[in-house]
Amino acid sequence: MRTVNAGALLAAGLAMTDLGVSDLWLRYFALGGAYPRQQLQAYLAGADAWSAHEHDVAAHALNEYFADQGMDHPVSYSDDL
Amino acid sequence: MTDHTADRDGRDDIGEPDSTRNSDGIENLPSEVAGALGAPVADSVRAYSELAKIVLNQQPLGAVLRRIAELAVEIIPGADDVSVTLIEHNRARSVAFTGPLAIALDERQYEAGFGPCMDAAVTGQLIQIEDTGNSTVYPEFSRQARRHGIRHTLSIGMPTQQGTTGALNIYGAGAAGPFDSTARDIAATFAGYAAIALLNAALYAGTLDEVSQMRRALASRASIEQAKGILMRDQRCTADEAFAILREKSSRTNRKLRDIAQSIIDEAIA
Repeated sequence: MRTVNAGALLAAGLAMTDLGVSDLWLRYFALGGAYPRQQLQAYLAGADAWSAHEHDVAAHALNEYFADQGMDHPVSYSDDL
Repeated sequence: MTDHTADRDGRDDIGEPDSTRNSDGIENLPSEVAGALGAPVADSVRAYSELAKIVLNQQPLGAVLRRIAELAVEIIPGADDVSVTLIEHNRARSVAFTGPLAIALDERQYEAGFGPCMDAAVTGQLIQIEDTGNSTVYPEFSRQARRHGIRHTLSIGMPTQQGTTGALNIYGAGAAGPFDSTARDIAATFAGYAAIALLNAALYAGTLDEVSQMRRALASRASIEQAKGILMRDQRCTADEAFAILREKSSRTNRKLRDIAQSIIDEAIA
């Protein structure tokens, strides 16, 4: 299981974008993410612990956005944590 | 206009004499409105009744605003031409007009970047030129208007949310003098209806946008689930491991994960 700190990393990544939580959730959902929007919000706020897999789905959703902006994949996946 | 809510359920009573409803409507109209029109009162009641209904219909925004402009010309005392200005993404255009004169005068303002219609739209205020032969605030616009025979104008901003704004513009050529308080009151009512139509259209477009985004997300999700199933069978792995394979390949090749998934599906069914 991820600790709550992993959610803070995701929140830091999100803060570098123009995306809102709803935008990220839609991208996470499109990649097969299982949790509802409110739970993503809680994870970002450090109030929920997610599995490594769900963290990676959300991290990849954000990294694909960064890749679209010509940036590398700055958000860490679970095996880097 | 709450007296017209009973008409919302699709019954079309326009053009049909209905003494009960008309007398209800008259009671709720400002007395000076009914009195100043000069036309049969039943006509103004029908116009208001139609206003309420067209705004609630699911018609394209342009058609609704055109009808509002047409009714405004009929009902507002002294109105000879009416147009509706919309400003979207900082670009102004006339989306409805009752005659070539209105659009010609509107477009002069859009080219210049300012004028009573644009200023009314941006500020949401009422801007009146009482005499185009003697206007210090908009001298160039007034000269143009005067040349086209327009003696007085009235522009009313639509009370809308941020983003799209607009104004109802009323042009008068008659010698009877500037638009009076009755005309201003009726015009404000019409601008209110136009604003509701605008808001409805924006809400509807927003909903469509959300639905299409969700549809795309569901399609992406379905492809990824299928590709995971193929990988689980071929690699004898779990669903989470299958996702990790897709994710690593997506990161390594800088391709979208859903495109990787689609390639795997295409290969499997080839």
